[in-house]
Amino acid sequence: MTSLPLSRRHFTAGLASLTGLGLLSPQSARAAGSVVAASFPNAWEDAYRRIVAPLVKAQGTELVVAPALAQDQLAKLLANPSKPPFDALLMSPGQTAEAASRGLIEKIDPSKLKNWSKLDAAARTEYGPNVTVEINGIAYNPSLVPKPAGYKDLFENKAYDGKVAWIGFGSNTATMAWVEIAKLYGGSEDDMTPVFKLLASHLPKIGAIANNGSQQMTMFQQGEIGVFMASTGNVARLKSLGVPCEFVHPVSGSPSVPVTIHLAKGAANPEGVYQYMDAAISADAQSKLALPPTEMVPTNTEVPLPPGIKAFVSDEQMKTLVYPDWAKINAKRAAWTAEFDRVVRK
Amino acid sequence: MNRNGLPFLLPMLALSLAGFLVPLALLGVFSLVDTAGSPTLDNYRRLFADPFILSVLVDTLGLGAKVVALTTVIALPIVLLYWHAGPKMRRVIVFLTLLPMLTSNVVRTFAWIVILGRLGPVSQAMVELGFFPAPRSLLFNETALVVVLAQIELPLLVLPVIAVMTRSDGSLAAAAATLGAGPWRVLSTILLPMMAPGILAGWVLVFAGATTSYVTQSVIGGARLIYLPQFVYREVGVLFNWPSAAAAAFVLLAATSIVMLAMTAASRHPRLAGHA
Amino acid sequence: MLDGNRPLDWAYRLFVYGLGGLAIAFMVAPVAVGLAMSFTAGQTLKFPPDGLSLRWYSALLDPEQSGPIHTAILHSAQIAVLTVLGAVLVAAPAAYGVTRLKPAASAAVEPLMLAPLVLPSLVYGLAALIASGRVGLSPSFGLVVFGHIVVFGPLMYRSCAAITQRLDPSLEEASALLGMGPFRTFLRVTLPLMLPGILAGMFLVFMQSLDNVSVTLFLADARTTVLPLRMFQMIEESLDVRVAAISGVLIGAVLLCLIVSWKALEPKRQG
Repeated sequence: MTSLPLSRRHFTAGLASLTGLGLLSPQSARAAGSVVAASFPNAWEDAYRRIVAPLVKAQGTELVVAPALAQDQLAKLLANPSKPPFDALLMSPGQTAEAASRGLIEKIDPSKLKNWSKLDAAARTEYGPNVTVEINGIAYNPSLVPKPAGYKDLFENKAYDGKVAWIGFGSNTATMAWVEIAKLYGGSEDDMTPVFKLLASHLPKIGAIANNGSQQMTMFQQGEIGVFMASTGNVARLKSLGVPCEFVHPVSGSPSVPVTIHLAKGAANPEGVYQYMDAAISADAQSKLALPPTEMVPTNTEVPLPPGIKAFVSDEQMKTLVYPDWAKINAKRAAWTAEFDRVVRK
Repeated sequence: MNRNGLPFLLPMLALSLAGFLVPLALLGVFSLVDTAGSPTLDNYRRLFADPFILSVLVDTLGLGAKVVALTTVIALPIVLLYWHAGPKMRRVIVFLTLLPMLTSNVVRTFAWIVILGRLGPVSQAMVELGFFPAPRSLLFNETALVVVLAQIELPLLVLPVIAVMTRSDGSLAAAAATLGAGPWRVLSTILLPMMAPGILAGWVLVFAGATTSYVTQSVIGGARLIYLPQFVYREVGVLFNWPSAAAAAFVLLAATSIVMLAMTAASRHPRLAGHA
Repeated sequence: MLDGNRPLDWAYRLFVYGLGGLAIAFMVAPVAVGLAMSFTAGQTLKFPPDGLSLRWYSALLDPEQSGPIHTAILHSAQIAVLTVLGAVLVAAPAAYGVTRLKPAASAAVEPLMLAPLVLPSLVYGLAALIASGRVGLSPSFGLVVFGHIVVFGPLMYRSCAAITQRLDPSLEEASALLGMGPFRTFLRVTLPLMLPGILAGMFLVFMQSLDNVSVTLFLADARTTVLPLRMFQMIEESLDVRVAAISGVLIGAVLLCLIVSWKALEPKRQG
């Protein structure tokens, strides 16, 4: 272990000169009065930069929107818990539970949010406000396949052979679909055996297995596949690109997942994070985010559902959404992820 | 001539030590502890006890070998074309070889998705020629992955060989031809040994590139083909098991190093290195 | 013409010209497809493209639509330029110094300096992230540059060493006789001779740094968005045609540079 202090000196000496060079970059120094907020890449990131950032700026804080999937946010926080790379995080309950149990996020003080009382009661969580609820179901290409009724249809109707893409348990959307499918075939939130049996026997008829949701969207656009498990947001995005794509609520109910802004533990600018949270749940921001191309379901009760979202989900359907038990799922998720790889591998 | 060259080497040596050896050593230490921080060999035991992970390792090395083989077969006619070409044509060949390197890996990979897709030109040609009854996707299998990786890595083999050829003069080959040796004989007895150091240098780069190209492996291969880089990413990004990821990374490193040391040793062999 | 007067037999001709042509076509075809798709008039990447237009090139240039891409291009270019500079400063002297060592010593240090070249950069990214965390450094722009110099510096070294190892020792002896020390010899005699190697190395290092994902993925902070990662995100979700247009711009720029440099070299060759 005597070599460590030496190496540390070498390392820092080498870096001292480089950080000097790094300062040449206009954006590398963390400016005072700014907040680094992680947001999902592309659609979310663009929308937050366009709609939320100006509202935060109006309060005197610069919002830096950094694209990162929820998993990548977690990985980067874990690498450097003492100096979090993001002040604010954007996560779904699957990752929230992980982040909370590892002490990476803090409980918030709702009294600092002016718009807190306008939120739907279900959207007020101790670790931050929900900014939207993603409603998941089945996306299909009407020019390639008939309209599916539910998950069972995809396995039992020959019309879907070779047309459906699936992904493993790394994705929230996929995990929720697998949980619903498990229930349909005699399993439950903590019993995935029927799913793996079904998968193993159905493999030759599967269209493709992708590594993540974005890859499925590529395949869908190229006509490689005609069906994938998607959120209404994915479908809105594909439609805005002119791709023939429709959304179906499975007969068994649509699994839904809130998306929450969190305050990272040790954040450089917690006050700025509160300003950002407040802006993101304001009626002003949410009414704009509810329009195409994002069409995010608002959590602020003062924002009415615009017609575009109503076309995806009626007020009655809003009441029958399915919220999975993430505590149960997370307990088995690692094992399922590993099992999935083994079942699908060629 | 053996005056002191050390002062000139110091910056690079310090960089290699501090920026390279030390982090690697730390990664090694990391792979030898459990999540609680006490020393253990379990991370490696788990890797080698699991037939699934072992087969992932074997597939990864196999992928590297197949890509090296295909790349070599395709590169040979290109470098011979270069050898026989005049100076203008040689420049054109060099530019065409650099061209793929100027195109982002991401773009090349997605161009292949379009080319090999269900509605892509290859599938359509096969339907018109009567080989396929209906359009079908040629993606998501190992053959496609090997072909795509070969195209992506090809410049890394062609360029070093061209570099060796440019430095050698053609008099030996010309003399052999004058003495009555046929072109195939010139190729096998003079040109190939001359190219050998370049080929070996290229093999090392191609092998390293093919076995570690996460993006291409995952996009072209799909999730049903699993290689070590995907496994490492999954351990880091989805399962947050960093010690296990470090162990897998070390196994990947060890496996590639052994293959490359063997290639480097081969390149020192007098019969292979002698003509350079 | 290098093969003397004997005609090549037809099988060999077919092998070299037939297969050679096919092999080059195989190497270049995906690039051509990517370029062709960048001129589409349609919404997403398709081949053959839905009509021809320059709309994606103008979308790429528009700061309103492509601001984040411009930021990423700026970051990537800064990283690549600093990496190239760092690599020249570190590797060019090393390639000279190694020729002044005893053979046993150079055989010992060379593998160490070349090792990063064959290390999977994914493994290096993970290792560098863990190590920098231990010494209290968070991911940052500077750390990315440092990582790139470590990983791509050896490319520069190899490119320079290919020249220094072939230099005529009598040149240096002459310079020593004239009373020049090793540093002045390096600056006045060796460095100018190394220039082609340095230029080739600069090109290689620049391109590799510009296209690197693995090292940057682990070492970049949240603000340092870089081009290849951004391109990957753009293309993966929406097959954004601007990604192909970026490659089109790069190819055009390099083609222009190459033609200019060839034209500039032309008279010298004849003279």
